Amino acid sequence: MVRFSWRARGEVVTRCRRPTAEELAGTPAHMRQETICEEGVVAPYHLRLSVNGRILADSTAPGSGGRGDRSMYLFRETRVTPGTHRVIAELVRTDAADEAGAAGETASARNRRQRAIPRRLSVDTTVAIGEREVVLVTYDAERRRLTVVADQRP
Amino acid sequence: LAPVLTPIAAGLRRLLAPLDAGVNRLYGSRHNPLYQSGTIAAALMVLLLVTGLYLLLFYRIGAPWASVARITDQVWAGRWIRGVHRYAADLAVVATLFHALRMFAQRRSWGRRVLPWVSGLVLFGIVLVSGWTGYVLVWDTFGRELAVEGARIFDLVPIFSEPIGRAFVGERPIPGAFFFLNLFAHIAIPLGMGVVIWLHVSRVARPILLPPKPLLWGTIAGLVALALVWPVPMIPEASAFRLPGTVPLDLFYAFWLPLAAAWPATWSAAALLGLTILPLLVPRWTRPAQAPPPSVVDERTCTGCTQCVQDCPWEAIAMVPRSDGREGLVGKVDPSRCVSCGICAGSCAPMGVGPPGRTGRDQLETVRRLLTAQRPGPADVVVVACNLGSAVGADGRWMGSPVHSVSCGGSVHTSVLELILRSGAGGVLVVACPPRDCWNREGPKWLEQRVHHGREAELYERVDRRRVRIAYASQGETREALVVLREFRTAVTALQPPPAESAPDVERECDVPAGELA
Repeated sequence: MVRFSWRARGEVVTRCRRPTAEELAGTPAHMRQETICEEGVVAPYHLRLSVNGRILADSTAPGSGGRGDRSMYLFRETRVTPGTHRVIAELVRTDAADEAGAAGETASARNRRQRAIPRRLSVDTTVAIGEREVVLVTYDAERRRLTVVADQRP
Repeated sequence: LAPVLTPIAAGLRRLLAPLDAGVNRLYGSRHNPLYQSGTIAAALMVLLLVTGLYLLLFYRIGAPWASVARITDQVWAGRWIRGVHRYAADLAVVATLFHALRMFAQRRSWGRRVLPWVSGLVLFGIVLVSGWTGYVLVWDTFGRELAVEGARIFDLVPIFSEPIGRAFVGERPIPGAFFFLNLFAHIAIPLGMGVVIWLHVSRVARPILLPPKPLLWGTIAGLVALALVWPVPMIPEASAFRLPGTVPLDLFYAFWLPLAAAWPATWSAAALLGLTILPLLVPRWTRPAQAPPPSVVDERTCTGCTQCVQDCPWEAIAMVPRSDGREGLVGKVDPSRCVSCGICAGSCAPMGVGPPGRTGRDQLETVRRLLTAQRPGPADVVVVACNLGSAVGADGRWMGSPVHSVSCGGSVHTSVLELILRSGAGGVLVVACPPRDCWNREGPKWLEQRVHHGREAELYERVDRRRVRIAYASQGETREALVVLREFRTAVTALQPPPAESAPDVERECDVPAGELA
């Protein structure tokens, strides 16, 4: 069996703007802000999974939660016969934001961007799977990449 | 669903009748485990608690499967104690389900019995949850399957910060907190069961919580023997990286697992919701269109003796100050607690209480009409029969004997028996349900005590006891009832014919003469 399972924090995109003079004038002095930001949403990512060329998923991966601003969770399993199998998993950001960060980026936005997964995650490998074995394709948050994990026990 | 449930309940009663009768022949009605399913379930909870305490001593959250394997390796204790724990848990499901089915079949789930019904369903839910958490604690392949499928359903509820199912995919070791929570739930939930059991029996007088000792110890001995002869095996340890192959399921707890594994989680959740809600609605669907009226106390007749308060199996009668200017107390029925069993009618010597149309006085009127119509002679036996659960049903004639049917053996006023005999009948046979299967609780017990042990309202000494017989026969024991009837007829025929009175007056003495009551 090939199991795809991960939790991946997509970058939360927040649109900010400077308030107009009229807005500032209509706001009490103690509530005036330099920038007004909307609630963020997870940037769009495209998910593609395939085993031996058979497509298991080929769609946009939404963030979880009611507002779609939380991590992306994936859980997908497919049974395969014992032997070697080509496994491909891709999670690619589809908007045009700059990976280096926009000019004038706030500290919190930079922090969110740096904790998020890279713009492109992919693994394309061939795995050998024995009788009743399970191979897990997951996201390694420390190394910031997709990895393939199998049972370590003898 | 009411039109569907009524024939289902009737069908279940037809199935239960021969089953009960067969087991009665083996064990006798007092020790019939089918009548004791509720008390057996309660006793099993105690047994589970005791055996569980032993297992807890050796269970380790950090090494769940290995610690259970070590317990199983203890040939002299752990192995069979674990077996008893497991088999007792299975039997608890069977006993609880059987108890619920019997209550449903006998339509004992509406009105006053809604709380026992609903709390019983909660108890059944607790039994299931305790079993599931117990299996997960072992963390073998079966326990993992339960956890994975349970998590799939739980993950539909959007209250968790991340899907529970991720804990089992192999990304990281199962956190110890998971087993700690399971262990906590496995112990805490059954301990909370005490409160629900109290609720379950809170509306009945003199609840019986444990089966008779021979049945109790017999059940325990049977479970120990089963655990010794057929020890519970260790199933391979769960692994996220290895498919389990064939998983041996305990279908008492995991009857739903094959379907849940094949269905989408939403279907499983819908089925679970349906299976939870539908039984809760049974009281609504089994409630008769016209509920029988509750008992009423006639204050003019009531002497304040408190016998009806003592005999009521539902604690529906209380003594309150009189309102007619006389001193003392008078019985008062709480209609919301009364199931209209009529047992109070049989308890009241001056015949001042009972459901409308079924008080002692009403019974005498009905029997007078029956005697006038059928005119039983010295060789005849008149049958007084419970029309709910006994072998003899409706009014009319049964095997050549006139039948007076009543709502419960315990509701028969002893004056009725006296009237029948003084009118010239050779004998009177009361056919009641077996004492542990009285639909109204305690009816046969009070009947026996009133006829043979002087309990108020007792059968007077002047009545020849050789002409009165009580037979306990359930719906499936028509043959047994018939044997008793034939033997009794023979015995009655051998006696000197009784003198028949043309208009016997058997009404009890009371504060207000019967004539004034009209």
